[in-house]
Amino acid sequence: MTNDDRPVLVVTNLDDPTADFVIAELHDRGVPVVRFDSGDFPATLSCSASIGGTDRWRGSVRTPSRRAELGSVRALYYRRPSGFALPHLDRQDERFAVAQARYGMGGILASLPGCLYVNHPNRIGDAEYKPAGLAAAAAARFTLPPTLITNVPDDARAFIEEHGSVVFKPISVPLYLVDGKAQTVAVAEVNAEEIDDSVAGTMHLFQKRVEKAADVRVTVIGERIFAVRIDSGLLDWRTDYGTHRYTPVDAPRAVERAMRAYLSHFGLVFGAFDFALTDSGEWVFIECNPSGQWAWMEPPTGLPMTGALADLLEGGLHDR
Amino acid sequence: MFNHMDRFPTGSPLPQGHLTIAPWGLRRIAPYPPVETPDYAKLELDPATQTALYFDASGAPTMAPGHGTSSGTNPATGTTGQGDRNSDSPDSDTGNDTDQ
Repeated sequence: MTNDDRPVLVVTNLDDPTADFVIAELHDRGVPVVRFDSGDFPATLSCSASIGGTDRWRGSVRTPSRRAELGSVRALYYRRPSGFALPHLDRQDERFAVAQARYGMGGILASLPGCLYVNHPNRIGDAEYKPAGLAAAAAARFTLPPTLITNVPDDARAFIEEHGSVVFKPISVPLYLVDGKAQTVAVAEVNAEEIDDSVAGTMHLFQKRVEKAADVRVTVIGERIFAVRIDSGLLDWRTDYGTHRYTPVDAPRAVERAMRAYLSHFGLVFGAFDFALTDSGEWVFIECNPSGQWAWMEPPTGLPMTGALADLLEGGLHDR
Repeated sequence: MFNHMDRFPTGSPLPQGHLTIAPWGLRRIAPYPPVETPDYAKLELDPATQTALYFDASGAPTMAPGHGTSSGTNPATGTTGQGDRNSDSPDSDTGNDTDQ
């Protein structure tokens, strides 16, 4: 494979240890990598592409250390790039510059010919919508917890009374600063007495709490499936990693089929699925993150996820 | 670089003057769970391997801050250029790193 000199683009910020593992693996295999962060544009990242009279983009992206020809990109690994920022400009001028950058460079990078996207950023954008994910999950025949998305206070109250144990989850977590520190929304139980008219103020997501024995995180990387049972005793295992025990497990065939249908619906080749595992052994779909983390599970389980991602990127579209 | 708000394309906001209530969900806003803060002072890209090099405050090479875990974490300082922008600014929905 080393005589294939088409590069893999890795789009991410500089502090991304997960990307480093994959890049190091590709480097060891002799696969050329061009890494950059959109936030470096235009200071240390430039891009030029032409079309018309050709059937594809001709041009390149240039970083301080590399240059990638846009007509021959093997794969694009879209991780966690930072946003465009030009805070030294006047606000409106910045908005103009950022919009041109987003739609211009972002648009070019989203329309590369013959490129395998892991994942395509627009597909990530679609799949980031929780309601779209729930609808796709229902269509794929996952078992879902009853979920209400509403701004009608009476409906919220009735839902909680009907289901007893209900959690509130944010539908999206935008930047929210308190004393300069970014905040989040804790996933926690809510009871009917807490509901008041302010539910009318915007959309809110309420979900029946699943009585679970454990959680399962399934990372799908191309054709490979890595399922790990997480025993933590926590409502949300992401709140404390110190309590976790990890055990590789096999996903039931029906769950595997549903995951394939879900990913195919959104056009994703990578997905990190979260399930609640009930006492009776049922896998209840919680969510699928199109850009989920996975590398921290590799040392305790020995599952070869870095290698699987490198295989996927190295193979490009030709292996698919 | 991509703004997920674009998945629901709208025109500019046209406020109609209705005074609606601040959402219930705001009362659930809370700080992120404590995490070990990365122990590095400076980052550089290794041009040969395209991986990041981490340095401590004395300028000595140090280890990367571990395998990326899956919790929502505070956005890395200075990478998103945010701060005091208002809600219609271009990147205001992409500041947090909540890739569960």
